[in-house]
Amino acid sequence: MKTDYLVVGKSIPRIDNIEKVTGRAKYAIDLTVNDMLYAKILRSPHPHARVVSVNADALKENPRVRAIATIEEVPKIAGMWFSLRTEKARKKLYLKDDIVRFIGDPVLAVAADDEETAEKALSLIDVEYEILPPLFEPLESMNRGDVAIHKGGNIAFRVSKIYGDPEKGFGEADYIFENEFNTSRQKHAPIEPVGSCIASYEIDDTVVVHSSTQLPHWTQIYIADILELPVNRVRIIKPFTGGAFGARCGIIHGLEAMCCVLSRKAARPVKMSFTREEDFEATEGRHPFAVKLKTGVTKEGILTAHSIDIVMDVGGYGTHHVGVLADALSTGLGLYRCPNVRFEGACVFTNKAMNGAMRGYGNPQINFAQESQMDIIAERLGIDPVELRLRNYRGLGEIDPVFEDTIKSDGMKECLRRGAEGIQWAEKRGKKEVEGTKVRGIGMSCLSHGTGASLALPDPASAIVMFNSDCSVNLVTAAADDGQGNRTGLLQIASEELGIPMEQIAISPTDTATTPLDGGTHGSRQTYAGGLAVRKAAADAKASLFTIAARFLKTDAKDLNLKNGLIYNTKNPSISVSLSDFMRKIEIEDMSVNEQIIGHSTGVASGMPTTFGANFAEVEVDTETGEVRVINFVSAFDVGKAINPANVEGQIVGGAIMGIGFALTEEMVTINGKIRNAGFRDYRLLRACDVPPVQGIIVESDEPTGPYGAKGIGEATMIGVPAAIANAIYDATKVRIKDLCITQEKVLEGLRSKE
Amino acid sequence: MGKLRIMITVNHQKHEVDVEPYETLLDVLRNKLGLMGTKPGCREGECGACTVNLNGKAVLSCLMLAAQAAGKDVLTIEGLQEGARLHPLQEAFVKNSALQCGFCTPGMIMASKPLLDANPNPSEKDVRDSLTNNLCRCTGYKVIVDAVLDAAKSVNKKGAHDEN
Amino acid sequence: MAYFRPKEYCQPSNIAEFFDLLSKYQAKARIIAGGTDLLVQKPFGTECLIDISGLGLSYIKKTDSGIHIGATTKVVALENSPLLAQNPFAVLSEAAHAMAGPTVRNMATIGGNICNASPAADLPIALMVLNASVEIMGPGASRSLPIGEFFVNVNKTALKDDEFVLEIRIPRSPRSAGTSFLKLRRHQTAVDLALVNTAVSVEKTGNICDNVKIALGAVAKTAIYAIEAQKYLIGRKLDPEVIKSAAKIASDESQPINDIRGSADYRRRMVEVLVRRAIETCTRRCQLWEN
Repeated sequence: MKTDYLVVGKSIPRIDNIEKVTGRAKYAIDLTVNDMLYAKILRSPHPHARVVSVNADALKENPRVRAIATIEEVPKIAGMWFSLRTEKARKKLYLKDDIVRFIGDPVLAVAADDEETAEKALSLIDVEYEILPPLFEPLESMNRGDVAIHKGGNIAFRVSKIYGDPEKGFGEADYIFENEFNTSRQKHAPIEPVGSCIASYEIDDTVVVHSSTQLPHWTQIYIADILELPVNRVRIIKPFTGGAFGARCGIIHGLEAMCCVLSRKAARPVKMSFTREEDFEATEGRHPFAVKLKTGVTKEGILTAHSIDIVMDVGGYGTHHVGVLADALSTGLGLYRCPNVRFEGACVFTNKAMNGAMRGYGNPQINFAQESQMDIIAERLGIDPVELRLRNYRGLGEIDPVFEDTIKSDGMKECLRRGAEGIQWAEKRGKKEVEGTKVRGIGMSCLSHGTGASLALPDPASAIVMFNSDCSVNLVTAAADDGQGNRTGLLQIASEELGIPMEQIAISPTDTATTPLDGGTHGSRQTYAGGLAVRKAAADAKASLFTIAARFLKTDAKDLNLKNGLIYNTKNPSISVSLSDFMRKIEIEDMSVNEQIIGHSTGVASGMPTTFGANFAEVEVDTETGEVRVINFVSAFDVGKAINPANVEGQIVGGAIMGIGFALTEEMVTINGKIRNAGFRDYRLLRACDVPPVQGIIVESDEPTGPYGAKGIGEATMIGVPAAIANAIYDATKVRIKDLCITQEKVLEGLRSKE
Repeated sequence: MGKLRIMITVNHQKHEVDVEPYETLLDVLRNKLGLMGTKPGCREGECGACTVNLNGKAVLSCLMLAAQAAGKDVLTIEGLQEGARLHPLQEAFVKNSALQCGFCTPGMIMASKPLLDANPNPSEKDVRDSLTNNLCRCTGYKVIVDAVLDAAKSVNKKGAHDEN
Repeated sequence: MAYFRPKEYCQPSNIAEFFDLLSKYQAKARIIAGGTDLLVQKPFGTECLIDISGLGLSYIKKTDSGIHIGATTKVVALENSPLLAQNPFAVLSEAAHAMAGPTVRNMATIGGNICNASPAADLPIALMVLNASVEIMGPGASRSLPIGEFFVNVNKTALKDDEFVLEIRIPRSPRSAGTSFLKLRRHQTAVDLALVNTAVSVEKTGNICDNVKIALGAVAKTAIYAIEAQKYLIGRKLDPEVIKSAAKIASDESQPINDIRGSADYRRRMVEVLVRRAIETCTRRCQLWEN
């Protein structure tokens, strides 16, 4: 692996740091445009109802109320961009009816001259509901034929797959383990609330939408379809975004679509900003999973058969559920080599706030189940947990059964080894430290996660590189940055490929009017897919440059190279011209040429390379109260190549903390359809004093298909964390918690039942 | 009575502003003075994205009426730099890439400034404690704490230099 | 939709002005000092906000009879006051430190905290074991109320509509009292309302308990004294079995509810754990002073 890169592999400070530290960066919540109206949503107080009538006559008196739009006029998204592939599926993507399906589901929206008028207007509207029976539990909902949350029943999607011969596989097992695991509803809760947007429907039937969406181009199509406009008349502009983690993976339920329709009606721009409470109550969360896991192993710990039953709680509407279940299938089967697998999954509608994409998609949930199970197996068989993983994980050269992609780079062994060293696994494992009423233990987990979605979903990436007459370069890409720092990474890749300093390259803002088709920032894909596109566009630009330079230098284009601002013949370096002289010549000076060097690339990556990782946690449990404190954490990830190590480490630490939250403190609590903790007081994020020291280890296995060897990282960093914590708690206390989140009451309950 | 006309010094500049009795300092800073750097993350005192300094102390501007700031000195993120020169905290955040999405960053910096003003040599625990009311969802806090400690060092160096 | 839209904000510069305003608006007026509870609750129907930070009530004074704390004293001042660093007053600065977070403590006031009367609040239980009294002022007269009688129900105090809190008084205490403040949160996280909190004060001679105060928070409609546990301990040897029994009695006296933070059952168990630990700490601290 080549290691002498100029900028790739360096922890270059992010390009937008200065705007952010000075308070100049504008986020969607900060934006204003001239003449704009403010919109507010009237939300259903019922978990399941038909909207019989809406009487807004009282609003006619108020000239400051400019428009109203109901759900009968504004479709909701009921799927994901996979459905754009066929006309039939596309029609089903947009749902327009008179039913509300969770407490907080939008009924209508009002646009007024100011926020207070909009808010007060809602209380003057009379809505008549026909209450419908609500269903809150997936297991009940899937069996109730008499109450249909959606036409077509309450099972939104089902997967049933058999690989090999599971019955035979279980027959060959020396031991069989059967356990049930449950994961809770986690919420992204980025510090910029989900979400805000401004829609300006112009007089010429074009619409400009300022939205923080992670998927500007799919959003462009959604809006075009909703407004029945050609795609080129819809412009999505993405400002700085205050975190996403999957919360903005599409359009927000009730936000962009409502704003667009209101703007068209009022003939003025419309801004809507959800409050934090609305974010918690009415936007997507992580799908809770109920997992039944049956695993057969030989006495050497080799997996012979696996049976996985998943019931997913979708909530009132399904957007990403198919993808999430498919992800649980591919990652659940992908991590370990197992010839015989039975997989059953059901996505079930319930009358609660909907679920969607959240960091890790379906992997954190299935990983929690699998990695807890592996820990149980390791103990029973007397095999070291790390060793058990080494014996079973699917690695280099192997093919995953779902996408049939071959693993071309594999750093798992190094992740496990260095992670174990970091936490002092050999020294501390099994030596339960006790101090007063506190006990300590360590646990681990491993994981694998695909990069991007090119084998599962439409997943394009494009880039354009333009040289200017002064040798500065414009990199044009729609790569959406929600804080990951991918724009800095892409600049590094462009700089490395072009041989031009980063300071000389500017990256475009994300704007569908000018930046070419991109699949969005999700699925850990941007550095990989975006990076490949940037690298190819840069190479394409260089090729154009060399073609023209060859004419001027009267030499062979294929012998030319660009380095340190000089275009030169590698075989005869004296044949050269400075880039600056040359650019000025062709773009301005020589009037017979006057052309710009432009390179471009567009397409889809050929695979979804596997990112490997291992997590090691040390916890301290107070045996009298059940309180758990994570006191040390080590995470190692094989990222192929760290384009920007500081950014990778940022993902590792951030992901670890989000994962610990998922394990211990983060759970949306819904009782009778009502969310009880729609705020930070009771939906608890960890704070600076709460977090353990996190040691992040970067392993580089050089992925041959990736830009400079890189693979994805964004999601991998939280996937294995809850299992590592649960396994550490078990090591300390011999209490096995199979339901997230792990509250201190559950721990104490477990301890007491042992006495 | 109703609306009040108050005199408030924001970022070393005196302003005369008309405010409603119920308007928070956060909303007046953003909507009336156009200072958007102070962020509304929750509007109920839990996330700290709205942190500013009032007479040198860190406060949550969403839990304060603008009227309560009358006659007082408010410092927001926009008021930290001197011309083009960034405050040591801002420089340290840039240098350490102590941010990702950046939405919590102004609050983090404004919560840390009074600490450094009072204590030129804070411990890591001091820094974490002073950030107790500030949530970050992206970074896991490690780089932020490192940046504040780094800023303290550079503030110290400057101080030592001045003495010589 | 309930909306917080007071029409007036006033900052009286003397108490007469204050009472004029209060009598004008009565139940439609809300007193604001810090605002950290008020601006979260945003009570509907508020017409006038009376800011009392101009009445000169921010002080911590040592007097012959003890320590007097003005109602608008910021919680951060309680945390850092040298007057409260000493035993037994340290229980109040410990409680102050455990409350909310440092930025909120810069704004919140002791008066606001006790008038909000959350059963889970941290300052009240510390004040209770210090035998504090609340100095209440009305338009005509003033009165003093022991802090234990000040809290009447959830978010309800003994204040009449035309009264307000002037100051809190903590009487002088024998130096040898050992105190402890403990707060149980979810997984020891830094910012949380108490699942259970307790403050304890113990005076002993040798190993015999002379006097004890045990205050419990978050386990009843208001902060409460564990009266039976207190009675049990007086005159007894402070050995592990006795302390354990006292903690069990305190636990039986508590009346917690199930809520999103925890179950009643768990809270009851934790009262026992916390009270036991607190008494043990108090006993150790008494020893320190003796030595």
